[in-house]
Amino acid sequence: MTSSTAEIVLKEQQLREVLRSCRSVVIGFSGGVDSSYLAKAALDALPRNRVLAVTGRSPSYPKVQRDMALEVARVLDLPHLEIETGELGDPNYASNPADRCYFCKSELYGELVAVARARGFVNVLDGSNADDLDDYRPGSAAAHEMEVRSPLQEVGLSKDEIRWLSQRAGLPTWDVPASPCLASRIAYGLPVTPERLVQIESVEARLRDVHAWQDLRVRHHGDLARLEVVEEDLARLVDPNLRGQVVAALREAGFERACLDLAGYRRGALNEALERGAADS
Amino acid sequence: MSADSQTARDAEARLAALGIAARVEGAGSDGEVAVIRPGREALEPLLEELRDAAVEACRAAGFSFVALELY
Repeated sequence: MTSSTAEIVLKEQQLREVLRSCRSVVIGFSGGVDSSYLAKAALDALPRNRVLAVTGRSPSYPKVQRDMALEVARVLDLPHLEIETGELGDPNYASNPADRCYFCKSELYGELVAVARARGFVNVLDGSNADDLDDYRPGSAAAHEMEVRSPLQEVGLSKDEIRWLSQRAGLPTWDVPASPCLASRIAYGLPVTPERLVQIESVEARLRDVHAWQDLRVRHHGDLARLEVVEEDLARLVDPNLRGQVVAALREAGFERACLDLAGYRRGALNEALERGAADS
Repeated sequence: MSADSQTARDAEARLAALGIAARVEGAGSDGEVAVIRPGREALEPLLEELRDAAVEACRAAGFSFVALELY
């Protein structure tokens, strides 16, 4: 985090001004770090009856994330609505192209816009932050098309700054790891199915029972599972007992083969194959 | 990318140059994952001091992802 405390506080003030100018807001609310902080900021800036947090539920939304969303809504006394989204029924999404997120976000934002219109809310917001501008995010095109605003990004708040502000605000999300949708674990081109999503969610939960990893992802390459853990945890897998427990968890989840990524966990790792492909062409 | 057996042999040669005796197989739907099956003595160095070099070697051979076989 490179900004000074004064700079972050200034951004927070700017955020409140942006939110006040929105008059009334529906917030796409996953229960993650960003949307939780955005919901808190909206409650600080607007009357409570002009804020509605909406959580889109589907098989790609992790249960642990939903539990956190419910907890944050309870702690903040946040007006909260859960809706079902149907992105898995869209072949453009389920076929898992590189721009899969565009189709998912189109579905979600379409539902949010419908809720906002039906209930008389003026703006629809999401929790994208300034760091997201550096990542491959086809979903941002859907936000632009549907005039969904990203106030955290508009005022330049980074993830680290949002964590700092969240801690100061007493939010339970301030130090939780990122928990993107389960489909982000499936290699592009491999269809997203409910069975694969369940397989990923269950094996990651089982692996967390085995060891207190700082973070982990199971990437799905069809019959092959590729486990990513943070660098500090990689060396622990020299221990044959721990390695054996990891193997057992992956076998129980139904993977025919499994491997441990030697580069360790990194955000959006499956995008690396796209980047290499672009570089090779 | 689509890794073929020549890519895997190239990766093995690069690992051997680092002192790592291992077999490499391309896996995943497009052969994008280098799955390394090390000799017994190579396991610990692969997870520790030679890890970064091994990743670089297999990427240089053409793989997108570099991983140690678990089973």
